Amino acid sequence: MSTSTITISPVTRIEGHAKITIQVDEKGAVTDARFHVNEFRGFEKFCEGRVLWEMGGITSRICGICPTSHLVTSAKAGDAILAVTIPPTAEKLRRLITLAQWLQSHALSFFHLSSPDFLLGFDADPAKRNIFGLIAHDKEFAKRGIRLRKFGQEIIEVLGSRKIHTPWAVAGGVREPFDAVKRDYLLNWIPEVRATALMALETMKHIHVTFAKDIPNYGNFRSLWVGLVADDGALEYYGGTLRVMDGAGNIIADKIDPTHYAEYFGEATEEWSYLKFPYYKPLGYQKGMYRVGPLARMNICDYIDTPLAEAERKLFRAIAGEADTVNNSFYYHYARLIEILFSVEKIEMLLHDPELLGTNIRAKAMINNTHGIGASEAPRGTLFHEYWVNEDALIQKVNLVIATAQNNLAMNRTVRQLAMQYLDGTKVTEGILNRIEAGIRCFDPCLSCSTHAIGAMPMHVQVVDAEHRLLCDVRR
Amino acid sequence: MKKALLIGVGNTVRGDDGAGIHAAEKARARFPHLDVLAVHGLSPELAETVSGYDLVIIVDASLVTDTLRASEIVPSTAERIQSHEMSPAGILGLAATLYNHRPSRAVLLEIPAVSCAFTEELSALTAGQVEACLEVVAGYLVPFQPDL
Repeated sequence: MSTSTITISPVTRIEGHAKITIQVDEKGAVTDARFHVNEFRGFEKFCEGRVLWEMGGITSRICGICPTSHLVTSAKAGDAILAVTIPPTAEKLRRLITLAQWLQSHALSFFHLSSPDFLLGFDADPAKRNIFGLIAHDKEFAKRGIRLRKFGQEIIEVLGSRKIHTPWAVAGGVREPFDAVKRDYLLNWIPEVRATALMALETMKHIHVTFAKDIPNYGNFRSLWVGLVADDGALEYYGGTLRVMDGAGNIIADKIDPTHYAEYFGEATEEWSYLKFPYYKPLGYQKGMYRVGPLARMNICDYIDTPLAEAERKLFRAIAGEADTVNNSFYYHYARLIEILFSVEKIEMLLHDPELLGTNIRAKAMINNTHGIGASEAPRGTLFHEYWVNEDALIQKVNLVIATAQNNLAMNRTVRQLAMQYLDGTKVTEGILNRIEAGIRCFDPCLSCSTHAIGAMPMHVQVVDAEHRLLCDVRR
Repeated sequence: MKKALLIGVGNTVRGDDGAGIHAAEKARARFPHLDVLAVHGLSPELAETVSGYDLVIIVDASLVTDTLRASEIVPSTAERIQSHEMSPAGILGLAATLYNHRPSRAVLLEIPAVSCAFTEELSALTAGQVEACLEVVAGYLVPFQPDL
C-alpha cells in the first residue's frame, strides 16, 4: 500500500523546535501522526562537576520563558541536600515569584501565541494571524496582554533584580529580603491586572461559542491527570503532594511525596524524538499516559482558595459533568486563564502578608545529604529536579523531569486526533496545518528556548512518500 | 534629552549564543550613560521600553554571518511570532503600532557565532568580535555624547 508523510517543521508559536509528521495512505486517510522534538538537551551532563550553589543560575538558563520555575525547583532540591527547613518568609517569597512566573508565562501563551488563532480565525491570512493582526482587531486587548505579562516580569525583576535568569532563590531560602516600597509598587498593579484577567476570561467564553464545532477534536480523550495539591486538596503551585486522577475523576493515588516520584513515574524513549515519554508506572507505558499543567491542576484540585478563581473553577467543572474530568485539551486555555486570575488574587494576598517583609530569609548549612529532590508546579506542569552531590557539594548526577515531556504522549495523541479529523491527504491548507499546530499549542509546550542565535530557526513543510521521496517542500 | 539603549540577547551557557550578553556587560562598564539590558530573547513587552529611546542597538549572536554585521532595523508588522520571542524588526514594529513611537534610529549588530554547544566560553573568533562590536557601538553613540 502506498503511503505518504506530511511534515510540519518546525511547529511555530510554541517554545522550541519541533516538527509534526502525518502519515497518510493512498486514499488520503491518516494512518498515524507524530510530534517530534529535535532539540537535544545537554543540561543534565553540563551540570556534572559544578557546585551545588551554582545550580539555580545554571538550570534557570534551560529556558527563557520559565527560568524562575527551574530556579525555585533547583533551590528546593538544594534545601533537601542541606536538610534544612527554610524560614517562612523565604517560602512566601518563593511562592510570590512562582506565581509571577505562572502569570507572565500564561499571559504570553494566551494573548500572543494563541489569541491570533481565536480572534482572527484559523483560516485567516497567515500574514495577519499574528500579534499585529491582533492589534488591528483589538488594540486594547493586545496592549493589556502585554501589560499583564509585564506585571509578572516586574515581580520577578523586583525580587530578583533581573527579569530572567535571576540567581535570587538559593538552597536554604532566598538571597534578598523584600521591602514595603517594592510591595506598594506591586500592589498598585493589582486593579489593572485583575481587570485584564477577568476580561480574558470573558473573551474565552466567547471563544468557546465561536469554536464550538472545532473544540471536540482538540485532544479530546481520557487520560490520567497528575499534579501537586495542598494538604487539604486546594490548588497548589509550590508545595503539597502529588495526586493522580483518572479521566473519570477517580483519585487513583494521592498524598504521594514528590521525592518518591521515580517510584510512580517512568520515562520511555522513542527513536524518533529526543523528548522522553513519561508514564505512570502502575499502568505501564502508553496506558499510563498522563497530562500535567493547568488543565490537570484544575481537574485534580478540590477547590481554589481565592474567591474569583474558585467561582471560575466551578464553571469549568460544569463542562465535564458529574462523572468525568474535563478531558478536552482545548480547555487548557481556559484553565490557564483561571490560573492567571488565581495568581493575581494570590499575589495580592501575599503582598498584604506582613511576614513577607521579614528579614530571616535563609537557612544556612553545609552538605548534609548527598541526594536531594525538588518539585514545584511550573506553568506547564510538575517539574522535578533531582541532584546527587559529593561531600564537597560537587554535582555528580542530575535528573530533570520537565513538564512538557510529561505531556508528550498526550500531545502525540492530540496530533493524531486532529489529523484524522481535518486532513484528507490531498488538501493540506494553511488552516488545517494551523489547527494541528494549535492542538500542540493547547499544551503550550516548552521544548528548548535555550539558544536563540539568528539563523537557527528555519520554517518549512515537507510531504514525503513511504520511501521518503520528497513530494512537496513549502517554506513560510 | 536624547537617550540610547543597548539590548544584548543570548544565553551564556550556550557558548557563542551568549555573545550578545557578553557585549552588553562590557558596554555597561565602558559606556556608563548608555542604558543596557541583557535578555534571553526579545519578548513583546520590550516594545514599550524601546519606544522611549532615540537610539536602540540590539546585539545578538548570528550563525549566518562570518563577520560582525551592522544593519539598520526596519520596523515590521508582518512577522509571525516564533515561540515567545520576536525579531528586532517586530519589536520596533510593535513599538510604533502600540505606543505610537519608535526610536529615530535602531541598529542590529550581529556577532558571528561558531558554536552554541554547552559551555560558558566564547570561541576565539566570537570573543574577538565582541570587542570589535564595542568599537562599533562607540561610533553610534558619538551623536549622543552631549546628551549622554
